[in-house]
Amino acid sequence: MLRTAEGERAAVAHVLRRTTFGPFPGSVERALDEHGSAASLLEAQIAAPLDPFEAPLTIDQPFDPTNTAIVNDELVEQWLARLSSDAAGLHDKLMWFWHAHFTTSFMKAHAIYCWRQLRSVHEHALGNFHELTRAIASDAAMLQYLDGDDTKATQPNENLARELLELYTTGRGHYTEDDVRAAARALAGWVVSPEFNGAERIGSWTLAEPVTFLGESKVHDPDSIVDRIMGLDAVAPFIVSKLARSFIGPRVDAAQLAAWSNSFRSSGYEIRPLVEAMLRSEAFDGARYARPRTGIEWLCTLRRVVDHNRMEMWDLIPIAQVPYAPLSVAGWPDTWLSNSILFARIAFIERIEVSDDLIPESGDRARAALERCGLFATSSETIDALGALAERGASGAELVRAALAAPEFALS
Amino acid sequence: MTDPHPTRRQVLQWLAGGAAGIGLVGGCAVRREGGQPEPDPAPVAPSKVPTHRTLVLIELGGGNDGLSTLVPFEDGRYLDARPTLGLGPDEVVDLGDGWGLNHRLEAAWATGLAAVCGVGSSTPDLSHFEMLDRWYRGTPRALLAQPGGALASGFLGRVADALAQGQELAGASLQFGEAPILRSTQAQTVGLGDVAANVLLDPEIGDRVEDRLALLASGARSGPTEEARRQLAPIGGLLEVLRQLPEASTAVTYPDSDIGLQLAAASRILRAPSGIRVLHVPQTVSDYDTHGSHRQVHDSLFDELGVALAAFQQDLDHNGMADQVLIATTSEFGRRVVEASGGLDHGTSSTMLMSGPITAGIHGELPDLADLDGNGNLRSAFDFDRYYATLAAWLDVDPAQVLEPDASGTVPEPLPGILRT
Repeated sequence: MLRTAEGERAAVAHVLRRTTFGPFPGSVERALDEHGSAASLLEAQIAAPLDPFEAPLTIDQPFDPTNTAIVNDELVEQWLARLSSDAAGLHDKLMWFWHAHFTTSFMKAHAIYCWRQLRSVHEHALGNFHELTRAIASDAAMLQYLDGDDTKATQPNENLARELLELYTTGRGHYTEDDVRAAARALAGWVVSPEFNGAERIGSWTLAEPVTFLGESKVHDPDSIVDRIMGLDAVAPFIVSKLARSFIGPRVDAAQLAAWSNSFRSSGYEIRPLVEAMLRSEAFDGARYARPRTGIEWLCTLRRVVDHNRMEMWDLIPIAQVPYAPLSVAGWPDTWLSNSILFARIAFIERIEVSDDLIPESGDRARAALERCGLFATSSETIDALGALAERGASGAELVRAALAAPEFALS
Repeated sequence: MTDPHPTRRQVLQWLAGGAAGIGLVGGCAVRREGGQPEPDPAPVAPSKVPTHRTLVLIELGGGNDGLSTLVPFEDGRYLDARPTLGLGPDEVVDLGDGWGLNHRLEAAWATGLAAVCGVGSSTPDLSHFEMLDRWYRGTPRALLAQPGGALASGFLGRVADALAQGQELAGASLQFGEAPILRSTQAQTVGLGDVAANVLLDPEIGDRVEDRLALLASGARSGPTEEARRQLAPIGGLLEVLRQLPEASTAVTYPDSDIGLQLAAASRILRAPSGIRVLHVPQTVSDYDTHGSHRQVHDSLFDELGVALAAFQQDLDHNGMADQVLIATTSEFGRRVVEASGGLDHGTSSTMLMSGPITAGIHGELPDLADLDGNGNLRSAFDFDRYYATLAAWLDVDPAQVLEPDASGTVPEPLPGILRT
C-alpha cells in the first residue's frame, strides 16, 4: 500500500497500539527505521519469540504475611513496569487479555497465588484456550476468588461454576441452572494452602458419583467439566468475538467472525493462529481508532510519555486498569469513553508532574508533543488546538498535557 | 502516604451542601471568573421552581425484596416461608386485606407513597448482570450475549434524548463512573461522582479542565474522535450546575445516611438552573443483595430510605415543586420466597415505590404466593417496561419513542391509576 511518510508513521502507530502497550516516545520512528513499513513491523511482532516468565524477587523470597499491601503494590508495579517497557509485545497483550478475561482480584485472593496464576497465563496465552481454561479452573487464586476453596461436593458453592460458564467460556443462554449446580459439585473438593503450597484436592470432599452436565453423564471433576464445556459450539464465537473486539474493534463483519469461530473450534482452540489471522486481516488494517484505548493501555503509554516510574494506585483505579483489581467479577466494563472517566483522566493529567524538557524548545513544538504521545496524522481540530497553544508560547509541560488530553489519545 | 482523594462520603456531603472537612464550607467553591477564588458564595437566586417535569430514579441495587416492602403479614404461606425473616403485624403499616407496608417506610408513607407490585420480567433471569443490563437498557427480554459489549443506550438516556433542549445538560447521575442507564445518543448526560470528587479535591481543576476541553473537545463531530468529543461536551454544563447549586435546604433536615446525602444533593441540583430532566440516584453501595443477614441489612436500609424519602418529599413540597418531581425506585429483581440461612437468594418480581404526583396506596398486582415458578420465585404481573412507560408518559414522552415493542409489535402501556395527571 502506498502511503505518505506521515501515513506510514500513523500505520506503524496503529500496529504498535494493538500489539504493544504503546507506542512510547520514539518507538514509531525506531520501528520504521528497523522494519521499513507497518506491514513488516506487524510480521516482526507476530514472529517475536516469547520472553521467559520472570518472577519478581520480592514475591518468591520468604514472605511476611503481614505485608500484604506491600506485596500487592509490588505485584502491580512489576507487571506495569514490564508492560510499559519496550520489551512488551504481542505475548504480553495476550497475557493481559486473558488476565482481564479470567477475572481474579487480590482483594480476595492472595497476591502470591495471583502471581502464580500469571505464570499459567504466561504459559498458555498464545497457546491453547482449552488448556488455559483447565489450568484456571484448578488455579489457587481463582479458587480463592470465586469461593472454590474449602468446598465439598455435598455442599458446593455455585460461584465458580456459574462464572466459568457465564463469563469465561460460553456466555448466558447455553446451560441451565441444573448444569450450574452439577458443575458446582464437580468443581468442589479443593483446599488452598494458607502456607502457599498450592491447591489440593481432598478425596473425601469430591464427588462420590459422576454427575450429568450439559447432557453428558460421566462428568466428575474440574478437568472433565472443562472438557465438556469445550464441546459446546457456543465457546468459539464467545471467545472469538471478545478477541476481535480487542484486536480489531466493535464492528467486525458477522461472516468474518463466524469464519474465525469455525477455525478456532476445529483447531481445538489454538490461540496463536486465530490472533495471527485477525492481525493480518483487512479488518485490522482498517480499524484505526476503532475502539477506546483501554485503561491499561492508556496508563502504560502515559507513564512513558511523562517519564514517571511509579504512579499511585488510588489515582488509577477510577481511570485505568490496575492489575488484579477488576471492578467486579465481570472485569472492567468498556466505558473508557464515558464523560466521567474522560474528565477524571484530564483532571489526573493536570495534577501530575510533567517536565518542560520532554519536548524541544524550538521547532514544531505542537507536533513534537503529539508525536511524543504517539499521535500521528491526527484530526485537524487537534493539530489546530495544539498549534494555537504553541503559538501562545505554552510551556513544554502544557503542550504535553494538552496532547494527552486530546481525544485521539483516548482511542486505539 | 495517605490517599488524598475525598471519600465517596465526603463527596456526597459536599454535594449535599454540608462541610466536607477538606477546607470547603457551605456553598460550592467551584471557581471561575479570571481564576480568582470566589469568596464563600452567597446563595444563588433561590428556589428555581422547575417549569418542566423531572424524574428522580432511585436504584435500589442488589435486588430489593418485594415481600419485605409490601408484606402479606397474615398469609400462612408467608409465615411458613419466612420463619425468622418475616415481618409481624407490629412491623407493618396495615393497609388492609392482610397486606402491610414495611413500617420502616412509615415516614415516607405519611408524605405519600405508591407501592407498585408485581413488576419484573415474564422471562426472568437470576443473574445480576443480566437483569441490570435489561433494566438499564429498558427491555425486559433476554439480551443477546455481547461479551464486553457496551449497551447502545440506556432508558434514562433515551428519555433525555427525547426531552433535551439544545445543548443544556439534560440528565445526571450521582454515580461514580458511568451510569449505563443514562447513556444517550444525543442529549448531554453525565455522571457526577468523579467530577465532583475531582472538584472537591482541587476547586481550580474545573477551570483548568474546561480550558483544556475548550481547546480540544470542540470542532467537527465526525470521524473516530466523534464519540470522545461528544462525551466531553456536557462537562462544561455540569461544572456550571455545580457552580450554581443553591444552599442546602433549611426547611427539612436530611439524615446523614448515604441515601439522605444523595437526596439532599438531588434537592440542590433540582433547584439549580439547569436543563436536567432525569436524575439517577444509585444505591449500589448500599447492597440490597441480602444473601445473608437479610433482616439486619434490609431493616437498616429501609430505615434510611424511609426517612430520606420523607425529608426529600417535604423539601419538594416546601419549594412548591411537589407536582413537578416524580420519584420512583427500581431494583433489578426481588428475592426468593423461602428463606435460607438467615438470607434470601435472588428472586424475580418485586414492589417498586413512587412518590410525588401519585395516588397513594397499593397499585399493580399483589404477588400470589400460591403460584411460584420452578425456582420458587414469584411470577411478575407486569414486564418492567410498562413501569418505565408509566414514568415516560408522565414526562410527556411517548413510550414508543423510548421503549422497544415486544415480539408482536406492542409498545408497553403505562400502568393506570398511579399518577395524578
